[in-house]
Amino acid sequence: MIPKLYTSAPLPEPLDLFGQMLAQAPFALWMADREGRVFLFNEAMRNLVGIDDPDRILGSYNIFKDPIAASQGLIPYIKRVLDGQVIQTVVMMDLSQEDFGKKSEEEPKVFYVRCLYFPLKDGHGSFEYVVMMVENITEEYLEDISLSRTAHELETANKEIVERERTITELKRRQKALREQLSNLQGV
Amino acid sequence: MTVTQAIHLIEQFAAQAPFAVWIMDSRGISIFANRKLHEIFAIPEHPSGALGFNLFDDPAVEALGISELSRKARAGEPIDAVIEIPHPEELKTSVVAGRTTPLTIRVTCYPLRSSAQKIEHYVMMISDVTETSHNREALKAQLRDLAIYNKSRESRLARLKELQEDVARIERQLRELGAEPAA
Repeated sequence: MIPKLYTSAPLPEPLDLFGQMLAQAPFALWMADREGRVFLFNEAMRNLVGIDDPDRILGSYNIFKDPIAASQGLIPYIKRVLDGQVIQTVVMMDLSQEDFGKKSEEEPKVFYVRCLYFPLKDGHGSFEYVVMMVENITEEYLEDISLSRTAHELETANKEIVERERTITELKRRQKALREQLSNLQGV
Repeated sequence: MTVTQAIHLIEQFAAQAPFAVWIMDSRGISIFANRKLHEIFAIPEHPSGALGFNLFDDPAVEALGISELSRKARAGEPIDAVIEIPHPEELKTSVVAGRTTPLTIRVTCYPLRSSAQKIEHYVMMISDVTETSHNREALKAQLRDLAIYNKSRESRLARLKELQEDVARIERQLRELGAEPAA
């Protein structure tokens, strides 16, 4: 089965090269118009979020009202894409906040995704469309979190090492002084 | 959204993407390159400077040590890899580029299949990840330092304890001799 490209205006089959490029892409993607309405998504997006009925999304789902992005304060940033900005961010995708209909109970509902938002210009050169590409990076993200935590531990450890070296130097100095004092007392 | 608009936008995706898009035919010969590809590698002629090369057989594949990755990609396996590209003078390749510094790139490569599952094209998407990759490497190097520190931690603690005990012992001896330990 060849992966599909879902669009609000059904495309002629077979898809051309660029249509195939999006349909068969391993990354999830959707496109929205200036008002935020999704008019295109690919099979990877359908699988990632578990879209049951494409027609329920196409032309009506609004990325500017997306509860997952809204809960993380992303909507104002996403809107900047229409000013020509490219935005990349990591989002915790909690599908319990948004039911697309298809995810089974067993499938994970919370995962981390890297979202890349960029604009597309229309024929007159103005930014009219928003592309969102999504990759599930849960494993990489958790590794990064672990790296950051360990980096924090390293910083603490470095402070500790400096402090300990200072104590050792001080103790050595005191040990020497006391030994001299003792030698003098013992008349050695 | 009309069909014509949708078709136009899908084409524009490849043209306007903020990452490089390189499309090859079933033999591996590049047939499409977007402007971003030319920017990343500083390939002067757009689009011809990046077209007509067999990317699976390019000398750079062996020079970069990615022959196995290339073999997998050619066989139709999706590839997602970070590749270090050395200074242009250190890399033999058919693609003429004006780049002057080494690069770290992230490459995603996947096949496009016909309904008969025959591979008809390959798509490569390339991002310049030089900065983020270096930051990550620096962090990993710090972590190696931490591991080294942790190894010596026990011996340092033992040394500290040994010194504290010795100082306390001498202080006791001094007091037994009726002297106040010097500050």
